[in-house]
Amino acid sequence: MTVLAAAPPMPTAADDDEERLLVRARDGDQEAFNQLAGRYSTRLWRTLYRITRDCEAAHDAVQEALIRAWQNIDRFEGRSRFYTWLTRIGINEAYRGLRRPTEESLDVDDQVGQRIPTWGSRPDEIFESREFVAAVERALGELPLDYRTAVTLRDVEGLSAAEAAEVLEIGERALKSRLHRGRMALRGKLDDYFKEGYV
Amino acid sequence: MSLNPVTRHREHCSETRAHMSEYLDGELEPSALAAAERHVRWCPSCGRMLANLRRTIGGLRRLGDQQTPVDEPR
Repeated sequence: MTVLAAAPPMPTAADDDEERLLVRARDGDQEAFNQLAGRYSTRLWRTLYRITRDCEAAHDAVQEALIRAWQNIDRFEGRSRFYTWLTRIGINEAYRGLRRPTEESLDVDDQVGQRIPTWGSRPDEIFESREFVAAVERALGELPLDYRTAVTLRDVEGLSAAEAAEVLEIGERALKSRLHRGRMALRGKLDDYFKEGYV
Repeated sequence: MSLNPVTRHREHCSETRAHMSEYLDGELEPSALAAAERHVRWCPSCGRMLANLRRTIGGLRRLGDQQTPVDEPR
């Protein structure tokens, strides 16, 4: 089975404004850098919290990432979005603080022939409820780190596959593999959630 | 590909499931897309799995709409 390549996003007015701030920041204008940091620090904290599951660790990683980004802003070549670059630094900082298990396995419960429960008979409101979203958040937190990170970047933060791969410094094929396995594992965990009758 | 219809069906299931993410992300080429759609139309297990995976991804996107993580410590 073959897949299509995604088209690159079109630049927007916000991108132009960001570019101007970046030019100023590269020239040493700290106020311009602070404006950029202000735009993204909360979003970065959310991403890093979802990866670390630790409020303080995420906060520390954001602070370290901003310091490193300011120190290295002249090295940012603009080949990726500023947020993508900042997220890569933030994730490296967050990973540094985590005890990373090597080759953590992910048991994807999708064997052919196994019964797949239906969720479809439930009304749409169930899937928009805070309880369901909270169950998704909990299930996400149970995924092994590499899968949790891939799913967070792509599905929660809405980065493209190419951007998420760039943040993680892996190939797009590897990113898509982690993403698919992570999503399938989450689906399996949510099967359990519905089976247990919380909704 | 096997001539045994049960084995062949299971091969189709495995193939379809391996590409469900690309299917939902709109990244399958037309011929692969048509094959996946044909399979999930009459395979109840894969149809349910696809529907549940779509709901899962929908839930993840809703997480992204939240201003703070749902389980953020207070």
